[in-house]
Amino acid sequence: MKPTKILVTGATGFIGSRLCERLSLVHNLPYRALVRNFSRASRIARVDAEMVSGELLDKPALERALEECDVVMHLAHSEDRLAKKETRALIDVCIQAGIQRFVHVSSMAVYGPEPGPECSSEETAVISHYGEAYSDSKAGQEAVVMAAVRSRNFPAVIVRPTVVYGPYSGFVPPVIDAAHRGHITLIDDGKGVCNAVYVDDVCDAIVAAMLADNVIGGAFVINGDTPVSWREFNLQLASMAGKPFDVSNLASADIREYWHSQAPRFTDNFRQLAGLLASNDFHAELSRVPLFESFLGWAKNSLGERLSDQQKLRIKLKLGYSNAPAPRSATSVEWPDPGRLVRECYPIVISNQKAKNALGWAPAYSFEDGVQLTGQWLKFVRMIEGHGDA
Amino acid sequence: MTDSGNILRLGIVGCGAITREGHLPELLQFPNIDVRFLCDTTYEYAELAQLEFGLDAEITNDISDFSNLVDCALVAVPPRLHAPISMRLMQMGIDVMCEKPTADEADQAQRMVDEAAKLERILSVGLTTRFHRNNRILKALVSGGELGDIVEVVGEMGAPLDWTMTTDAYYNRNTTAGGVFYDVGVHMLDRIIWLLGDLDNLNYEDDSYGGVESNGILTADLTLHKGTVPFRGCFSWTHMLDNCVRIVGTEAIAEARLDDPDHVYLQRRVGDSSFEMVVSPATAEADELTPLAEQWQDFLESVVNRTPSRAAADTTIRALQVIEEAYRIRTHMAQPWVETGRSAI
Repeated sequence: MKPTKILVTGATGFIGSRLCERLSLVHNLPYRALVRNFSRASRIARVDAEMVSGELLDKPALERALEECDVVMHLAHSEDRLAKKETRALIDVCIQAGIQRFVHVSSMAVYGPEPGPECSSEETAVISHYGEAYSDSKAGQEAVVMAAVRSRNFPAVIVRPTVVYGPYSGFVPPVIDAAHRGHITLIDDGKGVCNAVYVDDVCDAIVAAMLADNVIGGAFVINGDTPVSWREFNLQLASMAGKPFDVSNLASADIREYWHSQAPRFTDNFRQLAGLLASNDFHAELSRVPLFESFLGWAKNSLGERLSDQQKLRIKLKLGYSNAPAPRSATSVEWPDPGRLVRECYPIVISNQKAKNALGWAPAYSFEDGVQLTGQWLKFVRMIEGHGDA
Repeated sequence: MTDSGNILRLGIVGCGAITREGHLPELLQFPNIDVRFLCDTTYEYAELAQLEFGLDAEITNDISDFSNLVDCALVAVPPRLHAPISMRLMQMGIDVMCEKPTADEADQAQRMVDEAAKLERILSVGLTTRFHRNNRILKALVSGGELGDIVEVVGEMGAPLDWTMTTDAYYNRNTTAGGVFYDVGVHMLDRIIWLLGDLDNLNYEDDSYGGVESNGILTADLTLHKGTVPFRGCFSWTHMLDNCVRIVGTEAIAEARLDDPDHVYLQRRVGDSSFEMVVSPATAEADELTPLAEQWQDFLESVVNRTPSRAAADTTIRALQVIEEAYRIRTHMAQPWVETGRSAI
């Protein structure tokens, strides 16, 4: 369908900003950007995007934002725990406003952190509860959308981008930073599948999902044509830093064990509390209350006289005190965070065939093309050598 | 001049973030200021200022209320309103400290200056970098020949915008005349012109695609007392730049960093080694004021003594003229990752 006006939520995020740029510069379609914090809107301000202030749980603001709009492109995802509620609130106002097409931008995360081979295609994939906050949140949002399609004839289409990269992507700067530090870490030798898709291809898929006929209630994976390994992804980006770096490998099992060991235990509450009660900083704060000042002075003097230095130190050690410096080591391990562990252990290639067949869409960028454009942006923002200007 | 001896009765027009987070904590240090009015079209902002600083000031949305009850005013509203509000205040007999830029256009700023002169009012502009103490050091290093012959001057201001903005005033053509170049460029260009010399033969490019720019680059000839050198100014709202004035000489490079207004960093090669020295004033004062507090002190002294302020509006017009000229000759900054017309549909 050809829109009268599109409302874009999440318009100042990584994909949303680029979507606004392409709606203005490539597709020449009328739209309005829903903005929560205008300080993030400087990119879309360049294309003179129409902006309206509002949040998804503010019904009057949404009603104003939807005036004259017949299409919504829903990219906003503020917090995992709020996403379902916000999407439900948006759908209610959209139905009231008679919206003709709602493109919900979901994620391949709905297949969970360790999908089986059945998830390589939308037709056989199963979406369930995983106990992983982001996956569950995105799956929950989709469930809300699909329920509205079934029970309220809501004209929604779902797109599920895979690993979206490109200028302003959050995945890129950490790799460049690691390369600048001279050390790249791979997980399981980088054998995990990186279903990489360039951001412009995702934006165009969102537009295609709006334009296509006979797709209401459908869900479409938006992936590049040439999935790569995480080894290729990380090393190709890192090589753009223009500095030598070494590559080391960590086993996913070791990373899982490390984060498991770091998870807080119930007894940590008592240890932390005891440490706080014994700390000099806490005593200094407490001493600002005159009554405690004299009591603390008395208690410290009394204990100080009765305990030997060794006894005092043993108590401190039990409370976690240590005067030993951290060991200086060139080979200290930087443990990849749990989010990266999930991403880079991905076991399957996800097909984009359904989106190609139904949406009249096909990726325009190979991985090499996408990396090249990302590299030009990295130079511009001075993350890699080669800039000369702003 | 004032109705109550040395106490200056202040009215504040615009109670947004810059007033609450910038001006009020600084100006309330001065015992001779009495904030009488908080004026804003959004009542909540004025109330926030009142509560946060415990002010016994009246809240209003009409500057007419200031009449005969205020000696001086802070104008901290969107730039397009600087001129009309400042002029009206001066016509009410009120001295004005106006946020930068002085006005949208140089001609408009000139009219404000003429009005201030006719009405014998103080009109000062919030160009705080003029109050960075390292300006003195920088000037002395250049004029004393410490850097050798000057070969280039670079000015950079850039960082992602990261404070909460509740409106689109920064981007809306109804409230602003430009983007990052207009917003932070005016600080840098004013500082360069005021401190070192005039700019000429301008070239300017930015990344506007019909809206306001997020990145801009100005190159120009900078006239120093010994001749002309190239100047390059870079400005960004999207990424971090070096945030300094850098003067490159044949003997040394001097950097005045925005986050350290008291020192100059001098890089010099000696033999095969290069060193960085931190240059400080020999007689640092204890308990020194921040640049913004120093600007308020300067303004208050001007108001009391009827002497020109160090940031008097008439001395700020040239930077606006340069910005206007730059926008007039603007060329497009190529960004291939934005402009690719390749489509997947």
